[in-house]
Amino acid sequence: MYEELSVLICDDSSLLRMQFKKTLQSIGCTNVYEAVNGEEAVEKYVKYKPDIVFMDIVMPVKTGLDALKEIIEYDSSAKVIMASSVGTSGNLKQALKNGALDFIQKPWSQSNIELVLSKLI
Amino acid sequence: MFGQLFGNYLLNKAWITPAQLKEALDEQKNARVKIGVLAVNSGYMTADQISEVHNMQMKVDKRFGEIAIELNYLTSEQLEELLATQKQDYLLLGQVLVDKGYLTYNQFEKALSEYKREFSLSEEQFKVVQQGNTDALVKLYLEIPNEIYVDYISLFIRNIVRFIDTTVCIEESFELDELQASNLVYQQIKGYPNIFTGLVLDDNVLLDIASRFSGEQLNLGDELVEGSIGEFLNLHNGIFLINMSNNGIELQMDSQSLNGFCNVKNKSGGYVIPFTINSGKFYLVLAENITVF
Repeated sequence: MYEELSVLICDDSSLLRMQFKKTLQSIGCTNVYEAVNGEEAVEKYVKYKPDIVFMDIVMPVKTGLDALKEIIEYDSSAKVIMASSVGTSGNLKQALKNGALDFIQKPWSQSNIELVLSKLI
Repeated sequence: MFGQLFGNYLLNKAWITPAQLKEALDEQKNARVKIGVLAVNSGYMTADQISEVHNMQMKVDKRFGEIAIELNYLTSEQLEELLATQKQDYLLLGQVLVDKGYLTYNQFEKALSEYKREFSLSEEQFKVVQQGNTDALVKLYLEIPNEIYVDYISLFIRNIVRFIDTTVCIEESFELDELQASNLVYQQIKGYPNIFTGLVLDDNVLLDIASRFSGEQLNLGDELVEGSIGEFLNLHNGIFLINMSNNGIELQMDSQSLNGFCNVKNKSGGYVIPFTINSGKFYLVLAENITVF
């Protein structure tokens, strides 16, 4: 079901990127790219045009909220899901305002990821 | 939770040895009947409902019973009944120490009454402490005048228990002057107030926390050690920011970092809170302003 899907994971934590990748691979999604900060997230989005982006908020160099804004400016149809531990009402509002489609509160589970993907494809 | 603190008290007063405490805490942990088990046993909740509540507990700073009531799995009367059934953890600790012959009943009784006297606890206060209310425990044990720090530390204890180790002990806090660190993981919380949050740990404790949090067997030098310890602090601070936001205080935070050998020097409002888990001691550092060099 997810074999054709390409996903970009943006998180400064190597642990989270590894766990995210494992989870995606376990449901058949192997076309996975990684970015370690907001700046790299924008660069890799432009380069690979992934179907879906999972974006952390608190990241060095450029925050996830700023990267989200730039990605949406570049491609208004980009599907970006915020995945953060900081699900404050302020961040949720800002994420939606900047164009995010959904928000996953960390720590996420495989069922959280699958639910979000099933809504998007 | 009170069992661990009382155990630490017995240790500090030389009633028992560190090895005896560790053994007793391990046994007490196994002997403790969890509310979830009691709820299933009583037929109030199903196993699926229990795991749904456990999943939610990873994301929100609430107790099992609070979530179960919110989801209409338990009534408050049922929860009260289950809590009354659950044995007090300090009694289990006492039971293990007496069973092992490390304390006599008389010594246990004497230690308890000395404890109450030393901390000037009324029967009412002692009841609150026994129930493991972490806010009450932190206020009692740590002489930190800052209410936000008290909330932060209470949540930190709960998150250590949730994600890392249920046998956590805290010791008396002290004002930070200068602290040498072999490893420092830190994250700056910004807004009003600004809070520097850091953990000072040796290699052994760093590796233990990183391995437990990630669920992977890690080795020193692995990239995932930094990723895991940083994410633990990040996750904890994220929950703290959500709690603060729910109270009308919006804060932001920088990304987390890990330093090797360094010194942490107080510039203003710095406190150190020592914690002990199974693998050893580490320090939580909270400050308004700090220099790392």
